[in-house]
Amino acid sequence: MNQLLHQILSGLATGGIYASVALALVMIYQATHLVNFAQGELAMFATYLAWALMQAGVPYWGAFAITVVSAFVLGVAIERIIVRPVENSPILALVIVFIALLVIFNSLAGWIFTYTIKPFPSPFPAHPLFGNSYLSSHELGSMTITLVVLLLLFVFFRFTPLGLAMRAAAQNPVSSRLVGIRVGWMLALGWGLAAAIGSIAGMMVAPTVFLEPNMMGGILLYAFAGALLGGIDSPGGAVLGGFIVGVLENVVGVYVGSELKLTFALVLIVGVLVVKPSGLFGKVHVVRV
Amino acid sequence: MSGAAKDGSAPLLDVRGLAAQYGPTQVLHGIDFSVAEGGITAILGANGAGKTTLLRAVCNMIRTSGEVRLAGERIDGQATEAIVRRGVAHVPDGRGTFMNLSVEENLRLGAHTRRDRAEIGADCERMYVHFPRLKERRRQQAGTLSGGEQQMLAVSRALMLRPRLLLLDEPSFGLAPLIVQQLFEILRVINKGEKIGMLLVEQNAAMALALADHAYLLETGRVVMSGAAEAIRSDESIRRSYLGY
Repeated sequence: MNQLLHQILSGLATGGIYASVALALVMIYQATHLVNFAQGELAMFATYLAWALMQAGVPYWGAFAITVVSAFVLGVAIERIIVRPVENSPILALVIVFIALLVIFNSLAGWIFTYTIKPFPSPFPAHPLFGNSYLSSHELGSMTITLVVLLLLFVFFRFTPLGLAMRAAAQNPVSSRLVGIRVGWMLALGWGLAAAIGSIAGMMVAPTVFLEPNMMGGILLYAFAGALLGGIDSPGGAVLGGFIVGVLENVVGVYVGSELKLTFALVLIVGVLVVKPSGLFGKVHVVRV
Repeated sequence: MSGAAKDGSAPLLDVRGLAAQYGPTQVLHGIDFSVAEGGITAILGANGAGKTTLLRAVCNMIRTSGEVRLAGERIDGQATEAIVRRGVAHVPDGRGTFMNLSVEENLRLGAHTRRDRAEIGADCERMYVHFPRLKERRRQQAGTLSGGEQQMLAVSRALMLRPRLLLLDEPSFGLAPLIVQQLFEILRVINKGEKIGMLLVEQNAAMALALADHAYLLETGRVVMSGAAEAIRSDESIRRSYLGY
């Protein structure tokens, strides 16, 4: 019983990471109706940037802030320079652009930083906080940070005029232009925010999985499973889905076998697509033919 | 014979030689028309005459040629967002509702380009006075509104811009006759009270001619007749042969 509780709690900690990446996927999905396969590699690349900054002597939180801002700028730049010119192309062309971005950032990281696994520091103390025996400080700290990020995003999208304009631009670009919203910039801003969220997830997960160019591969898969489970067009659902996947993954790992963790994510993806493609909270899509 | 202001100043909207095409199909063939400052111009015509295209062309949602002037300044070729920022609001074909957002969020989006936060809240309340149904449903998802309610929402959203010029694409479409009368009465009040110029595209010629001061009759992308709305309304042969009522 104690062990189960432990696994659930630590599952919530990794679930927070999946939830963040799932939310980033949903944000891009709502604007482009495609999954950004490069989301994980962007996060990985940003994490390398944080590592390089710290190697150069920048303190952790300084490196953290610079990385988040840089990831935001990188996301905006990718949308404006690479995605914008192909936005009206056939879906397959866009998918290939996303996959190309994945490969490019993966190889770029390997070329610049080598494929050697590197330790990545945690900003939290090594001993458990508050004398609890269930969660390490890093798990507790990263869970807190992801929750704060998710809360800030919720407030931003729900209560600010800019957040409202971004939601409108993603849902209905034509009407958005007719009320004067600069739709192109809103989409670029969405990419920037998604990349920034991803970079935080990357820095929070790197101390556990260690830093290497392929570190986000599995995480992207879990995040995708979470996003699908919650509903790929529902930000709240994706966040919840991310947490659920985090917990289930941990429990499966302990009680079934850790070799089956990734398999479990894939089974979940296929299962959701077969049984309830719109996910728990997603809208059922009806297309007029 | 145009809607130009009589005192010689530039009309609110002045369009010369407007042409538009979808792919190889020419839809508008060099159209001239204008809307006087604070005036209402109606564009009448059957299905497929090019009425919706004409409105889209004015705010550059489609590729066009010709000159479009707003209060004397060229706006053709500018991005739709930029034209909206100059005070041109559009009640589009199909109503353009943000289906997943609440009624109130739809209204606030209409005021997206404005920076006077306090005034925006007050304007929302004014819309609720015009359309009490919207107030009852302010927290509801706009996609759940009936067609008529969405039309009211589209008009309100456009007015939230505090426009100089309101483009209306078939506001009577799909509405019960009683609601159409209410809506046109509200448009009249707004036009008189706030001096907002309107370019009204309609199939319902009787309602449009009663509201407008000038009217143009469009047939397959060409203006076949224009004049004072009153004159057209009282000319029985025009009414019979072109307007069918």
